[in-house]
Amino acid sequence: MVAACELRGIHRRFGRYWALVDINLQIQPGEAVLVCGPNGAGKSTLLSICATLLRPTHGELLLFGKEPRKHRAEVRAKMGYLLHQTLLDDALTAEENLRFYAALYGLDQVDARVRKRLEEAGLAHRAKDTVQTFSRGMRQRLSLARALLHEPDLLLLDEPLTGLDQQAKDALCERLALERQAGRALIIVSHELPQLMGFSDRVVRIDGGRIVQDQPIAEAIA
Amino acid sequence: MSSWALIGAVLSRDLRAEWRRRETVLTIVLFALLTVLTFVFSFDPARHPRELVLPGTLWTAFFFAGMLGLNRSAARDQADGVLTGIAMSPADRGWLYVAKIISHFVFMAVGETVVLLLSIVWYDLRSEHLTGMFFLVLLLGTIGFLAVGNVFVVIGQKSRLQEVMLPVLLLPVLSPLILGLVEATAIILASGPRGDLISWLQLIIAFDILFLGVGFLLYGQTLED
Repeated sequence: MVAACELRGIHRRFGRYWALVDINLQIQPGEAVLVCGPNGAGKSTLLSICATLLRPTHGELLLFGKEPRKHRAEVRAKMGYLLHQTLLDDALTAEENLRFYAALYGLDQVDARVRKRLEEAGLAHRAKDTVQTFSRGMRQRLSLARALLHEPDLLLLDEPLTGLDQQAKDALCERLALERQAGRALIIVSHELPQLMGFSDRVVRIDGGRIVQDQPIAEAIA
Repeated sequence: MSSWALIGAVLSRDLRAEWRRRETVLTIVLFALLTVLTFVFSFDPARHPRELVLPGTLWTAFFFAGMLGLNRSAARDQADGVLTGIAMSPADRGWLYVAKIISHFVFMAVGETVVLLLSIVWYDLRSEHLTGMFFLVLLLGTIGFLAVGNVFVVIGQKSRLQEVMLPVLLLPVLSPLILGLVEATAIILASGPRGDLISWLQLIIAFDILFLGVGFLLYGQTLED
């Protein structure tokens, strides 16, 4: 089976500082991997490389068995992102934002997709409101709806629970668990492990730019 | 997805967001007006021949206001992360570039219209000056500016100097275009023999074709790296 995401000997340097050193990792289709570690460990750098936002200094990244620079459109059509920034235009309504991304991804059945994702996010009643009127939690839910709009096979999430209240965290975890059940591979960078461990398969701990732990969740808990 | 649908989506998003914010157009209009007003005070239109002063005044106002507009619009995209979202999508980069040129063309056209209306009063422009050829030069000049500006504004936004980078990168590259535009506009406003007008038009058209082609091919690279 071709891995959804494979990192082979990835190094990344910023100036004289090595943020990542010899990272080897495989994430299989349908697998949920939790990436954790202290601040400055290299977690977000790792996610940015997986998202093809950063190039590794050395090493090879394969997404769905393909080199992303050579198969850019094909690979990106299979990936969804939930980053620190929402990637939403706050002058547009929730519906307009999703329609814009539907156009960027060349999707069909746009009305049905947008309606479905807004309902799942619990934002159908606010579809016509501009994003600038939304709370942090509502923006995060809409951002997840944006990330899932094109039914990606691989979902990358950077600190998805940051800034959310407990109710919003529970709702987001529930949605991620459903996406995991739907067969999507998830790479989640987070400090908030207990809440995310419920539906994750593996935990990868990074420290000083190196992988220091890579275990199934059951073993990590034990 | 068809290129037309992509252009339509980007255009619709840019125009809708601008209609609600009114930031970019307001920046362009205000700055262009202030620039022309400064030139009116510096070179009294009653004492200086129109064809000597107005071409430089107009193109200075349009290009500097256009740079502010491009920076304003790109900074907004950067702040919301929309530029990252666009960069991470599978959409065709070349047609994204075309869409961005069209939306910024609309913003600049609003500013240019306001400035021209006031120039009719300040510089006594008459119908024999505002000919089809005058508007053709205006159209080609704005396209040439946006062809280069839309690439450099993305590069500028990624650097630490941001707003400063755009004029530093853009103006040297635009110099042949500016020369051609000022000379062509002066010939049209002089209402005399057309002389070298065709040669200057050829230079402007060649500049537009060259940089539209380069931008179409390289816009994706600027988004990625």
